[in-house]
Amino acid sequence: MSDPVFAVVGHPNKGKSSIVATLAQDDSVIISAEPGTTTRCRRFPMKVDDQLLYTLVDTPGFQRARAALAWMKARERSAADRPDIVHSFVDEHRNSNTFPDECELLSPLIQGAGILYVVDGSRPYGDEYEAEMEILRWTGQPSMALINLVGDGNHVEQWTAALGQFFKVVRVFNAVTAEFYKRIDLLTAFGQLKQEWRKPLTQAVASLEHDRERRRGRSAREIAEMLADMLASVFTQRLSTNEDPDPHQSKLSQRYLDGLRERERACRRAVERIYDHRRLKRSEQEFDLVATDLFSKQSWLLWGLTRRQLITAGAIGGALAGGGIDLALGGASLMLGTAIGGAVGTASALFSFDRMIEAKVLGLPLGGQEVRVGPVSNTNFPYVVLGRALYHHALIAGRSHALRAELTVDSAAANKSAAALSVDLRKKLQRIFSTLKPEADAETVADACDELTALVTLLLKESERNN
Amino acid sequence: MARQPDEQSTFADLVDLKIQLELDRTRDPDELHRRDRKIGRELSAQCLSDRRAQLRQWLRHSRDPEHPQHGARAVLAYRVTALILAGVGLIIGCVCAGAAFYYDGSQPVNVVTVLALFVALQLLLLALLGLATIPSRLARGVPGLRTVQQMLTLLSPGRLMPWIVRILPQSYRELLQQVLASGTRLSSVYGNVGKWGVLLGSQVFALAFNLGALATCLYLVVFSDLAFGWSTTLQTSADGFHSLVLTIAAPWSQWFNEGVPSLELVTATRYFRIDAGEFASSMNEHDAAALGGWWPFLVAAMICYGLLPRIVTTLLSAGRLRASIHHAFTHMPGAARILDRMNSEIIEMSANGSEVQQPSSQTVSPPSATITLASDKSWVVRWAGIKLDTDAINAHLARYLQTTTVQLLDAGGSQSLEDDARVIEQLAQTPSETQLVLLVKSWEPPLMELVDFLKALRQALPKDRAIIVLPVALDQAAAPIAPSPSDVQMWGRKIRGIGDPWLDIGINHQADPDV
Repeated sequence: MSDPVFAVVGHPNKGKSSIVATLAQDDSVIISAEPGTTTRCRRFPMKVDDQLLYTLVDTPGFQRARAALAWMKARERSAADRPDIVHSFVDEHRNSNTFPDECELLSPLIQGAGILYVVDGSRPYGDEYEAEMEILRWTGQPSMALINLVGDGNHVEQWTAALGQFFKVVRVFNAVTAEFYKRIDLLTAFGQLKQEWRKPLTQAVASLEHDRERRRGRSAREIAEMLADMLASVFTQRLSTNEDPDPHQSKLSQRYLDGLRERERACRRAVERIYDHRRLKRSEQEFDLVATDLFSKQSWLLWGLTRRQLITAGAIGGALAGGGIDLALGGASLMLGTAIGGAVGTASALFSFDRMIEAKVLGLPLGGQEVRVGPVSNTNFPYVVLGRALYHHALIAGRSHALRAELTVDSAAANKSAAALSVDLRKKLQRIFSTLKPEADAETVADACDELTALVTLLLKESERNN
Repeated sequence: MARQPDEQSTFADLVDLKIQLELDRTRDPDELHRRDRKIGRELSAQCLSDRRAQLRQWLRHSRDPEHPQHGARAVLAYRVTALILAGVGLIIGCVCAGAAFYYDGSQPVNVVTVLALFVALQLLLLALLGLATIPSRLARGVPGLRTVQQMLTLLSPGRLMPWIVRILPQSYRELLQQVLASGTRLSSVYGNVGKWGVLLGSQVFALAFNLGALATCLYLVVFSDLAFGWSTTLQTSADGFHSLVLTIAAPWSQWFNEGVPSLELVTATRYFRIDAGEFASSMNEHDAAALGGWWPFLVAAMICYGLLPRIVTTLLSAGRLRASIHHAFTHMPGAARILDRMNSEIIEMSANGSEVQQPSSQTVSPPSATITLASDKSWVVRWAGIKLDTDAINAHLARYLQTTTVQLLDAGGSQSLEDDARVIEQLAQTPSETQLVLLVKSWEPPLMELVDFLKALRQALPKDRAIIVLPVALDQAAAPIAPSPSDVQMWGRKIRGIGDPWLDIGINHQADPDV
């Protein structure tokens, strides 16, 4: 049993390559408004783990259908001869220049390929199609007509009536807008064309559906990791003690914001790659944050001790010393030693801190200031980022590989997808977001990321369905 | 001899996994998927639900053959470092015990000093260890506790490990430093391995310290004649001290009576500094022999409050380190992607090789001369069955060519090739001043059979007889309208590409405002 082969045939410039690009999820297929771009057959084998399940063949369009049909009719003795006559036609003209396109497109058909005849339902039906449809009928191969919609017009009814006379199965399939499940539906229909094609096509459909789930999971992980990175993102810079930190505020905040935006862009690229959109151009308004929400400053010491840490150290030291006295007095001091020691230690650390950061050892300053930007304190921030990511994913997951236009991510629609989250889901997300802090340890972050990935996977599925 | 990669610990695997992931970073994702899927397909059935087993299997296959020993080196470096730390702890323990049990006959060994050093201090350090190891999610609820924890980690003897490791060769040193330097940064690939690695080092140090102290104590007890006493500046009665001793001895008092000092011993062994080490009560020979009676209590206390807790904390730290290693191994950034690649079918649908764009076959050249209308009367050929009547055609002709139809013919479409030939014959017989117009559907691409028709027509006509191809579009009511600019351009390129100087398209789209 040979593997199913489907030749996508038809008039030039009616979207054959678009259909192939969509079904093969290949945005490298050249889709040109110029007729006759495809001059040679191009095979798109569908393999799962190296097992060939079916092959799509993009073919050139008919150029001299009437002349070809006339040649065939001149040799017809009975209807049973027709497939052989088509075979003879190809054999005889293969090396001549008379029918190069017809020979090229008929070659896979005489080798047993199924016919996917593509017409443009946005343009009116014309008599000139009849010759090529007749030739296809002569091949005797299982066939299906696909009414593609290249333009805005609608002549589907007229086409359906005409195609119905030549093909048993006629389907409307818009190569540019067809989302994943419509493509799957079409593949399933291919399997119906011939009994022995059903099994490989069913297997292909199952693999593609499974692959879709995987891609969704991978995208969810990319989004979850982006959120984790953004929520924990902190940018610090050390300044000398005398330096005024305020002039640095705007520059550092901008750098911080640029970092967050670049992280979001990296996630976008990753998601697009996951869905095999490698040549996509995207336009998206970037998010904004109020810079003053991000900026903070704190003093630091050479050993990495902050004011708070030093005060704690002082308090512990004082309390330990006082505790020693309490222990010596067998509790007769009512723990006053610990309390007083702790208070004295705290106070001395508090008062000595500013003097210590001014001090120098061997000419090197012991301390100075550290300006810190981030993390973003706005509790709505992760939801905005998530909403934008969900919306972008829905656009990408639903985007046909035949579409060459720039992807425009509408910010207003993206914000809506964040606002649509249920209260229950928000609670779950909030719990995860609250653990994703700069100081969180790596295990906590890894576990939170896993949990977030699972939630985002559900959200992606839902948003895909809604879009 | 280093162990084979298959047998090595998860710690070594962890280091190797990180290195392998770094090597993979520059590789093509499709190539990685192909490689990892191949490994995934070879997995045994019991492996399929075990992330760790899958990753180890992956490592076994994808490990860089040129650098197979990285992980083993890191483990060796850690062990050597921990051993050195243990040695340091052992020496310090011996020195401390030697000092605490120092006896030259002038003053007895002060039990209070021994208890302070080997019981009170140990308990305090254990309490601090407990504080330092409170999980961060719990610590976050107590104000200041996180800061205290950060402070305490600075005091850990395990912090010496990165310093000790400097004595090792560079290739070993760098590997271990990477692991130990992984703090709590989000980007850390080693998770909490660094934290627990350092803490385990601290416990090894403390365990060695206590072992050293205990061994020194036992050595001194066995090989010298120690006299124990107790003395404190604080106003403590023998009864009070005895009850403290009983409290300390509570854990073993039920089954080890020798380790519980009696009140008589406590009373008898008190001494004051002012007495130059002389005991307060007068002693006979039997009492003097009892001066050594403190040692079972002290040894039991050192074991119970020093050694045993440290054995427990060492085991716990080792357990936590192992758990952290396992967690980091399966959660390392990139590990999920490896598993995904191993368990995802490779679906290929693209064509092999990239498509080569055909250069435009027509070299577009404008007509050699501007085709002027020979007449306002035209013979019009409706190509491929354009369903327009004479009036509609005249309206369209009037718009672009200022001519009207005198004769309407049909060719192409459902007409036969013989019909086309007859049309050409008819056109060949038309008077030379008659305009020849071929009306074509603007939305349909120009096919080679039209080109064949035009060429055949040219054969039948004089070379300088003008032929105009006029594209027409139809609205929803099938009335003629201006074709779209892109369609006009498409037709213009094709018709001019034929290279016939007296053949042109009848619409100048730049001049027509409706186009």
